[in-house]
Amino acid sequence: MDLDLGDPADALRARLRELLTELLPDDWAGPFSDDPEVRRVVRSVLDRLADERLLTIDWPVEYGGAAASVWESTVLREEMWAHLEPRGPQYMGLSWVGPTLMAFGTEAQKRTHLPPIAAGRRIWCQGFSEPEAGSDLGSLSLPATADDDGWVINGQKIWTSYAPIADWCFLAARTSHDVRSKNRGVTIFLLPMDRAGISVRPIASMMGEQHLNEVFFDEVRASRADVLGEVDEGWQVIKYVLNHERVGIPRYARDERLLAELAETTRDADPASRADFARALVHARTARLLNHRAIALREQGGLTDRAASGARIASIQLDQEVAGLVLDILGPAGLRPGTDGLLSHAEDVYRYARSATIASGTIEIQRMLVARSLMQEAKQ
Amino acid sequence: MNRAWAPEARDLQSAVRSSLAGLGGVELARAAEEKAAVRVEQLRPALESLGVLELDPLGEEVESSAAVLAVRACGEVVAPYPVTRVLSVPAAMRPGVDALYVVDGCAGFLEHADLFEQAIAVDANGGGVRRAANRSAAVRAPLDPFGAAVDLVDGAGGVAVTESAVLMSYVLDAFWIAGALQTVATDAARYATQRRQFGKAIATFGEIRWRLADIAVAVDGLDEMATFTWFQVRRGRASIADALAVRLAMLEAAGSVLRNAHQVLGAIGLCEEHDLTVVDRHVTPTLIRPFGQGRTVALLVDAIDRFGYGGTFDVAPGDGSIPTI
Repeated sequence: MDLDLGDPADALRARLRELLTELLPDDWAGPFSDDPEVRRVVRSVLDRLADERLLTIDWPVEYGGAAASVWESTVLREEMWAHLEPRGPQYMGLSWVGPTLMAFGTEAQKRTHLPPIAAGRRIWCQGFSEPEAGSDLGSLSLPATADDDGWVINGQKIWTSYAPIADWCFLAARTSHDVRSKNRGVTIFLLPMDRAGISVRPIASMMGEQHLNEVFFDEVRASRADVLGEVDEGWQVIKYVLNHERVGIPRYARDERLLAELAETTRDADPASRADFARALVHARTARLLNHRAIALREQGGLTDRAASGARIASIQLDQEVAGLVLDILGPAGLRPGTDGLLSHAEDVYRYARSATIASGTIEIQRMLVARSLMQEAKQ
Repeated sequence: MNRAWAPEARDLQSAVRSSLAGLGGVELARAAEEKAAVRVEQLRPALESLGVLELDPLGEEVESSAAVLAVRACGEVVAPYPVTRVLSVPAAMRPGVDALYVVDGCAGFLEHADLFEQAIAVDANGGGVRRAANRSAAVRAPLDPFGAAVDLVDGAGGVAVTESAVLMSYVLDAFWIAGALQTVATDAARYATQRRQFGKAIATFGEIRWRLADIAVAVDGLDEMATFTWFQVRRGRASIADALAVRLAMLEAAGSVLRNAHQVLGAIGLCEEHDLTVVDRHVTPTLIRPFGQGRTVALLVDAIDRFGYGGTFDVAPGDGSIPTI
């Protein structure tokens, strides 16, 4: 039994903190801004990470990666998230679009997409959710109607993060209706966002810029070359994507950083707040351990719904707990955005945390999965 | 990272489970309530025959692993013998000391204290080591089935208990409770698939499933915290803050699991003939002694200030100037 992440992972963490200390300004508030200086910072981080082959550290060597261990990959994700994800939306391409292309893409698709993803120069958006298909993703109905030259797509996606700045869309559309299973008849298309007929409408939200958008498809044409995987078998691709997303964002890492930075302020807080602070530290450690367990099980090929969704439940509940605690302890001073370190973004953290139990599979869905897993175990 | 327990430890855990199942499982706890001698006539010989009571959780890794997994197996049936108190005694102090309790000031009653001639108590606040004297027989109470009145007196012979032994004592409690909560989780899930209301299994209702999910997450979280703290104690990295953290995790997990399980099982779960009631009552002394949630948090706040708290980003120790809650 050895619960340490290992020397290479520890060394990587130290290196990443050096880099981020060097590259991120003191008033770094995250990548979601139109400020040119923010874009310059994001670009400098991406370039530097790419130069040191850290962007694709866990990709196979044949695709320009370093075949790093799962724990080095975990450390990279933890440090990025803890530092307000300075890779910006590129993390999606690196975390799941790239690996999914490796698994399902044609050689031409890999040649087209993997190099720019590996360089941090291609932003993707995920076209999954629809007005009538959110948690029930299998009910997605955006029609892609076949004709002699391919397909014509008409309809709408919603809640599509980064759509206004995305270069490409990873789109799930319905190409046929199979009465036996609604999960059949779905096809994945890789479409450039500048293709004729695609338009984007940002949705103002409490989460801030870029997070929520509508994407409209008006007589958008797609060809066989745009299809990822097999026609009508896109659910297999979606399952692969969701499997990559299952353990999810290492929210606990940012929460642990917030708590560490909050410690000094907490010492002057009232006893009840200090008690809440101590509880949050315990919950953060628990969430981290549950996530590490899920990662280890996935590595061994034994990841269960109980482990994956359980880790996620612990993380997203922690996110909301810590966001509320930080704002509570900072008091009125925390209500307004500032420029003095992580805690000065407490109000942004708080607003974003509202989405934690909704995004990428609601907490209700996660609970359903955990319960089903527990009941199956109990039957055995 | 290697999360696998030593095979020998797993084997012992299986053997303990089999042995306790052969003695009736949770039924053994019921029997011991009716006849306290069951503890020494049936259970202790079984544990002795497997070598459980000789294990040193601060010994070599395989032996230490075996100790905590055996304790977890005992917890699964709320085995009515204080294996955690016996194994908490540092190996160098045995056999002169046969049980170690962590207390918070005056003890009053200690569970199973009637079974030991040479029990000692370590004060959680650094108040030193005392000897358990004037022990009464176990006085049965619903939430304290095996509590025996004791006086804690000076005269422990100048023995000093190492910090690691005290920390491991908290860890052993966490493993014991984790075992008990796993049993509750399995029972609740099984019941939810069998019990029918409104023409269908209650497991089909979202509210029931969400309760089962919260139970599973709580059990798994406690298992991870117990294992992690055990690992840290063994490597000499843990402080009392870590021990109190795992105790808090244990208390919160128990609260969530028991509350949700009772709700899933409804009235049947309140009946003495159902294991949930027995498990609930029998874990309560460990949740309350040496202190419950409020006091645990207060001590944890103080410990974090004195020793800091490790994480992806560490909380540094303070200057020790904060007032105790």
